[in-house]
This record gives sequence, structure tokens and C-alpha cells, in this order.
Amino acid sequence: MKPGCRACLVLASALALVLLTGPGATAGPPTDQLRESIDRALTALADPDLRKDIRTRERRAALRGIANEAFDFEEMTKRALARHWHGRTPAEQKEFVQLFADLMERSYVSTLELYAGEKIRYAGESVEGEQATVRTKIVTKQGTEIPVDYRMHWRGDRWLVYDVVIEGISLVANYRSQFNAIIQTSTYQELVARMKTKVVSVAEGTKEKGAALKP
Amino acid sequence: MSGLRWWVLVLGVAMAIAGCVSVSTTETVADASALPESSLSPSPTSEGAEKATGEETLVEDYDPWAPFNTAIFSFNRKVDRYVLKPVAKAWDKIVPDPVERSLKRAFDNLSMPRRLVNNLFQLKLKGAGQELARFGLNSTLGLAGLFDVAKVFGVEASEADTGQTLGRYGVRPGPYLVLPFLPPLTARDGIGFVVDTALNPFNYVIFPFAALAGTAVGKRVDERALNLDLYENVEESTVDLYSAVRNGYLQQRQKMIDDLRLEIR
Repeated sequence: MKPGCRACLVLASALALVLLTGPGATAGPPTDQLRESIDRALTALADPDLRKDIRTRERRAALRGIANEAFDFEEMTKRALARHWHGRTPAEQKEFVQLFADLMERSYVSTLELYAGEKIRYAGESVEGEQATVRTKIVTKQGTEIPVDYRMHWRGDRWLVYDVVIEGISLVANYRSQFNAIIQTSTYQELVARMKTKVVSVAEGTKEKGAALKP
Repeated sequence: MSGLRWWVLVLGVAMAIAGCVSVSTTETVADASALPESSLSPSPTSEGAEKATGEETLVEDYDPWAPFNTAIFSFNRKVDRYVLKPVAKAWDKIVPDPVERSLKRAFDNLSMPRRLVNNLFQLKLKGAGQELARFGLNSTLGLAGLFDVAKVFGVEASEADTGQTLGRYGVRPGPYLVLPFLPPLTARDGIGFVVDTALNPFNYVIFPFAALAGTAVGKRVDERALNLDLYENVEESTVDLYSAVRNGYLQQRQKMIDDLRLEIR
């Protein structure tokens, strides 16, 4: 019976080790502020009046308002374009911020929609001067946790998100590599053209998808 | 020789599927040596590393084999579009979600040896214990892994693969690598992948290649079916899929290895 005992022991100690871990997380202003924005976005997403497919446009508008208060789109664009940002005229910069905000917003909103009804757990934050990271987990219905970290900075009177890190992948860094790839193989103008078609096709795609969901 | 050919074919088919749009992996080619100084802070995550990568500086992903990789990537995408996705969609229609998830768990259960061995090599003794406990519980009470009983007891899986282990001991990722039918890799992770494949018990049953093919294809289809919306979402929100997948893969791998090094200190 010795091997059996040993197996039990291994099992028991494994269990004990698991039970001993306990994270201590404190919430502060960045978390509170982020939670408020996410809650509002989720409420808008769940709103039965806005939920209908026809209302997609209105719903996006409602979400855009919330996103503009929570995200620093200009900072995100600067970081994503990196060295390509400086060569652009102010008008070009402004246009690009708008295009990028549309794209980010849509991809972030579709992510939220994908996980609609699933819980978001706030797993702590760390603040260093005017920089903060808020850690969250999306808890899926199957109990899988998807880590989503928000990098924020203090701008004047509030904390603004300048990057979202999903499962270790920084969205800003990811777009940076895409933008750079396009600019290097063709031109900045080509990138803008692609962004424009993308924004349109994403909008149409969601409509089709929404319709297709209703059999 | 025919055995080898089989093997290659099987592997390819199995994973082509995943490879096509396996969204989940990257690492910036930031020096692995540039570990965060703040690693001694109480926070277990590697914020330091994140900040240290410097958002403003453009660190390009190391991809000297880009022409080859791009060609294979577009081949994989076609396989995904014309084979994997249609099959996964049909599968998704026939098979109820809970069954899909049960199958996924059973496949995950079978890769216990890979996780166990690598947890040990990475000196994650707790992780190794968890894997043993999980395998014991899930193979028996969990009916060959169809149900995750261990999770109910709070014993989570401890993911670990050979590419990570190599990275943990300082092996650099090397060039980014895309192979037919496979998820994205780097030279290092490609070597890890071969070792991990050898650690799959299904390779040693009576008809190894057929079994490997069967499970690999089944697993791929099952996972693709579970993630239909997710893939669409990713395709929708990228402007350049090739570099998005590459960067995603490289970032994620780097993060895992950074975390490992922090844990161990």
C-alpha cells in the first residue's frame, strides 16, 4: 500500500499548496474610475432598447461617449505610430487618431460583447506616480480567467487608459507592429486607406453578423 | 521513410488549423536580458518589464525569414478558410457546446506529461504537484479527462512547454517561424514543439501516427469550433494580420518567460 499512500500524500500536498495561495489586492482611484466606465459600457451593451441589431449605430454612439472619457486615444495613436507619428502634419495626426479610435473601439466593444454576461474581476492595481496598471480578469462561464490589464496615466483631473494588455498582448504594441509593417512595405497613405476600409467593413460585418445570429 | 512522411503530414494537417489564425502568441524582440529592475516589488506581475520595453521606441519583431513565413502564413490561412473553418462550423452545429468543451478537456488531460516534465524542469514544483493531482483526479473521477473534477477542488492546470523551459534557461527565441499547418513558432519554440510532441502519450500507442493524426485533427477542429467568434473578432480588428499574429505570439511568449524568471527569483 506504500505507493498508494505516496500518491495520496502528493495529492494532499498539492491541494494544500493550492489552498495556501491568496492574493491581497487593494482598489484605489484608478480601479474605481475604470470600474465605473466598464460598468457603464456593460449597462449600455445590455440595454434591451439598444440591443436590437438596428440600433447598432446608436449603441456604438453611446459606447463612444463612454470610451472617450476613459481612453486617451491620442496617446495611444502616438505610441502605436511611434516614429511615424512625428513626420505627419497636425491634420494627418488628427485624422489618424480618429481612425484608430474607431478601430480600437470596435475591436474592444466586440471583445466585450463576446464576453457579455461574463464576470469581470478586479485583481488589484499598482500606482507609480502618474502611471498605474489596473489588473482585471474576465471570468468566462466555463470558469476560465482571461487576464486583461489596463495601463493608465493621470491627465489633469482623471486617470485615462493608454493601453490594454490582453493575455500578455499589448494592443498598442500589436498595432504598432502592424502599422510599421504596412508603412515599411508601402506608404503611410496606404495605411490610412486600409484603416478607412477596415472601419467601414467592420461596421458592416457586425451588422451581418448580428442578422446572421437570428435564424 | 513513409512513417516520417506520415508524421509530417499529420502534424501539418492537425495544426495547420491552429496555425492559420492562432492569434495568441508573440514576443517583442526586446532583449530577454532586459529584465525589470522592479522585480523585487511585491507585485507578482512584470510591470517593470512592460514599462521597460519602452512604448515609444519601435522594436521590430525579429523575422529574417519573412518571405518564407509570409508564404506559409497565407497557405495556412487558406487551409483555415477552406478546410478548417467549414469543418469546425459543421462540427459546431452537430456537437453541443458542453461536448466540445469536454473533448477539449480530454485532449488537455492527455498533454499532462508535457506539462509535468516542463514544470519540473522549470523548478515549478507546485505546478508539477498540481498536474499530478489533476491527472489522477480527472482521469478517474473525471472519466478520462472529460470532466475537470480537479478544478472543483481548486487545482488548476499549470501550463508549461519545452519552448518556455528553454527560454527560462536563457535560450533566445531566434527567428520567427511559420510552418505549414502549425501555429506560429520561433526557432526555439519549434525545437520545443518537437520535444513536446514526443511527450504526447498518443504517439506511443499501437498505431501511433494514425492516433496522432486523429487526435491532432480532432483537437484542432474542436478548438476552432469553440473559438469561431473569437477568430472572426481578431480578423476584423487587424489591418495586417500577418504582423498582428507574429507580434501577438512573440509578446505573449516573452511575457510568459519573463513571468517565469520573476517567479523563480
